[in-house]
Amino acid sequence: MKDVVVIGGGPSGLAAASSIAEKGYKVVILERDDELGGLLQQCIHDGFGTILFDESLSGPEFADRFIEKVMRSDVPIELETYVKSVDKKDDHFELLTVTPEGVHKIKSRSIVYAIGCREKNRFEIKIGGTRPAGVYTAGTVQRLVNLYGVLPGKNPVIVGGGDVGLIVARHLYLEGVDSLFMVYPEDFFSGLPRNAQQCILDFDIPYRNRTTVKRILGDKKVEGVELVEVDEEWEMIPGTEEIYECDSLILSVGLIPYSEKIEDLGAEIDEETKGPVVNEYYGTTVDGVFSVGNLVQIFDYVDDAVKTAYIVAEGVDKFLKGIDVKRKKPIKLVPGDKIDTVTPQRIFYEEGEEVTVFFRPGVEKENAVVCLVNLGNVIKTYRKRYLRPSTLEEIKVPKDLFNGKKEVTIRVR
Amino acid sequence: MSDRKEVLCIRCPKGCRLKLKIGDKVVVEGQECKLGEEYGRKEASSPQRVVPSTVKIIGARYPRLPVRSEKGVPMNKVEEVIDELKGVEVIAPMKKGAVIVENVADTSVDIIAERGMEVQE
Repeated sequence: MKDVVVIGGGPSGLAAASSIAEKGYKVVILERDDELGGLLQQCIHDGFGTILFDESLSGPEFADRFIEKVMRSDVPIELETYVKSVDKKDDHFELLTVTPEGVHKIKSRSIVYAIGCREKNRFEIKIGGTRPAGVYTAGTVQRLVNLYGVLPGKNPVIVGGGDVGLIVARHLYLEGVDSLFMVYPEDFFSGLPRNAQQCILDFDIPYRNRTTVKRILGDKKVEGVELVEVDEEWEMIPGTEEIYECDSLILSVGLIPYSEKIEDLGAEIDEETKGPVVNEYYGTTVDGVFSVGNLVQIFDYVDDAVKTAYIVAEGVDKFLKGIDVKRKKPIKLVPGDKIDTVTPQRIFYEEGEEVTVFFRPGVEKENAVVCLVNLGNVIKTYRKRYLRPSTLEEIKVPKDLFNGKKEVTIRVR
Repeated sequence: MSDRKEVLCIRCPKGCRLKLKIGDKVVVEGQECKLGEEYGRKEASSPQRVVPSTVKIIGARYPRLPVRSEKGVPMNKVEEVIDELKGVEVIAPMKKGAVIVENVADTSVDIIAERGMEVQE
């Protein structure tokens, strides 16, 4: 019997496994790929680690810090291991895994899910038209270009101005596509400003805002797209359609936590984050099941995602020790005016000094005041120099602030 | 004679759109704080970028090895750096941090391997 199974060998899973092992527990990491590091192995640009290490590392370099740490510990790593199913028993979980050698059973007292997120596809954003070859998600293109040296086409269109799209645009430009065009429905790139500058503006890559792809054209291969202008609500404006010739379409239309598996186990899912509802130690609503990293919500910085892994180690420790100082009813933390998401969504434990709370603003605002509100009364305020939806914010909330409350709302004044 | 350029300030999440007038001296407009002015001046005089790319690797798990410039190179050299990497070929195994190209495009900056790669059939 294991104490903890960590599912997923990306940065959050690796950090969680080594932090939990440091507390003396029997941990194993299960990874479906044949190497560790997760998504970071294909993120070859720099800018990772500026918060945690005060250095600007590439994805593989950042991942290696955590891979080395796990390698130096005695945590076993099972590669090419896919978790087929998980059964909750009275006092443990039974995992059925599939590996090249066959099907195996693993018993564990607790599970940390670190299985990240996936990319949205064309159907989730309702792009019509034919279904030819040459339609890719940005992450797939990143993998093709950076690991295999294969370009998706000679004149691609990228739809979506988020971080992955911006970074892929730079790779494609530098690796030598003939032409490149980016369109996005927002007024301005939705990715981090530094990516907009370093990836698009630096190289004068053409782009158009308030524009999206209505239809894909082409029989066997992509021959073009029908572009259309959109208004502030992202509604298509009739009569603004135009055909743009291209040989491939790259979708950078957002990431979504890969939460189907954990939902099957009975964990409550947050409608806003699309990830599991978690408490301040990243426990889900199923006892003994924890969740970290991009599965909880989409983080802008891997550094922040990894922070959740350090915090989960404390939660797993409390669970395995059977420390039960939980409140009878957890306090709810909910997003209010001008806030899109908040994690954690529940405050379970009475002890502890402060809670690290992440929230995504729903608005762009300078010199903003962020308020914690209970029953209409402001109980604490935080000043933020500049809020924007593309940047996830963090605040530290003193634990005793929650005493005697049922619900605390975070809003922007 | 003066040159005009627009850049996005990356010193804080606000991301001010700076207008630079580059002549005998640099004039920065559009910033909302001192950091922006400082960033604008640096961008005007000597903007630098770390260049990420890949080179061909023989006998490893993937056909490409991720590499980057060890530190920033002048921005106007970025495309020259990429061009110089186009013909480069290395053979596995490769150690993380190994120098792949010295003094790339005469920038006094080395290109290094971002990760190690073992030999794989």
